[in-house]
Amino acid sequence: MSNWDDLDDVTPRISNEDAERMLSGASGIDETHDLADLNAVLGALRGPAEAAELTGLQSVLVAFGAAAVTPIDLSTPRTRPMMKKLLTGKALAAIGVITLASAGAAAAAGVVPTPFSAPRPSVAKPVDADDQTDETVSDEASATPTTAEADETTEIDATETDAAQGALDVADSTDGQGPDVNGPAKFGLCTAYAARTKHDTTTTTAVGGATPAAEPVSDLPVPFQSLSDAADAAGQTVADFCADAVPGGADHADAKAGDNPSATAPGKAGDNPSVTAPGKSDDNPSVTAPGKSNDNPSATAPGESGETHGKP
Amino acid sequence: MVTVRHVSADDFRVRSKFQDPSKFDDVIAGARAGDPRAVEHLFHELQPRLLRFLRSQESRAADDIAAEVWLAVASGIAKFDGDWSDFRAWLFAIARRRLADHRRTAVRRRTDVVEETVFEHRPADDKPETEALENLSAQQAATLITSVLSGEQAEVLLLRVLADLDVEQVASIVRRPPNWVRVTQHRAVRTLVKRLGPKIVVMR
Repeated sequence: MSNWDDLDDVTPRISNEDAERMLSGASGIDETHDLADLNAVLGALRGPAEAAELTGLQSVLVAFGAAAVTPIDLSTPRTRPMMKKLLTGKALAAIGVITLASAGAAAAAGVVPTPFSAPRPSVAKPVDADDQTDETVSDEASATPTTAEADETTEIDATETDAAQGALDVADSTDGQGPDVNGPAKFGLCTAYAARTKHDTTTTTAVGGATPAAEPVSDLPVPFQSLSDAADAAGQTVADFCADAVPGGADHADAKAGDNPSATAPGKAGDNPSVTAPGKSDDNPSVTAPGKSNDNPSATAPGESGETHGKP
Repeated sequence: MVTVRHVSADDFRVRSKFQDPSKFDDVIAGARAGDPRAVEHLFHELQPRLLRFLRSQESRAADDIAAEVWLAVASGIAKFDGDWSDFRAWLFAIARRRLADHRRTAVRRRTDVVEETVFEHRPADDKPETEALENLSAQQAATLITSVLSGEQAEVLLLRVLADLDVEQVASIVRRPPNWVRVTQHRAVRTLVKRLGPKIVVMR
């Protein structure tokens, strides 16, 4: 090849402009020009597509389809932990919504709790494990008291359950002292007490267990003890004491049970973000878009590209 | 007597519907959305030229490298911003990098020897040049150029012709000054003329 490197003897003389013109394809060479051979080679280089040069289209279509569906996955690996963080953030947000909604339930009873400061000494007490085992002959064994309560919707309506839970949350928040039974929490406490009494009566009928009346007062949860004490102090039974209880206390005598959206809100607010939203964002594109890429093979494109490369 | 077929200016261009910018924009938007027709359009426009380039450099691995190039294009097309010329430059820049990666991995410089058939079909000096050259396939032409020229000269010439890029774009891809590209392509052309056209070279 070394002898080819001496190009001084090449004729015709080819200037930089000539080379540029040939390589850029700015102009053709006429029939008598001596550079026809070179142009024949360059022309062949630019020739139309051959069948053997058009293999591999399917994998390219798949790659573009996948990139259109999940552009993040095909970028840098660093973005994946970022997505995990975002999803974790969503989960945390959902937990936050549930927490706030629980606080809202307590706020409906007029007392804003401090949810993380107090232990939960008496939450499981109203429906303790033994009671559940006895009563749930046909129900699924449930670990949490709130679920056990929810299973009893044929006996206790939802409003009662929610109000009772709200009252118990209030009890949790007062560090063993219980809420003021003469204050705004009275209605909630009474509702919870009534629900408990009703539940225990039903249980007694079914399995012959002890009634709440036979239960020592000292075994009652603190809020119920307070309620019982207040009734005793007034010279009334608890039922009588609770007869004039209204939601929100005496100041809210005209308030209705329907004004208590926070009692039902936890279920809605808690479910929606954590269950439906991630499903939407993750599932839908991956289901529809690959189908799109496979369902629409072009019948016209090869013809179009054939026109593109059609003229030799 | 040298008889040469008439060559029009159109033969030297990448004749594409993408010369219409709006058409190209539509196709790119479709490809971003995974539209098979748009992807197929791009593929038909560029795959033959991409394969000619890669096969002239690494014939055995060319198809695999081309697949890698398209995969990279698919993953990066969402961020692509440019016209048809920019797109060709981008695709061939990827191809060149993948080629370099392949060569580094294989620890070899020029793996594939030039096919002897290219030389076997070279016309004897007493035959008209057109007899062989007009029947040259695109791949034979690319391989011939690679075999005749130095690596740098062949790369510059192939990028200029196959990818239809200008001097500045090629300079950017090979990371050299534009003037280096001009000098290299000039020598490439003169070398080809000397090698291909014995009758037009005055032998002293």
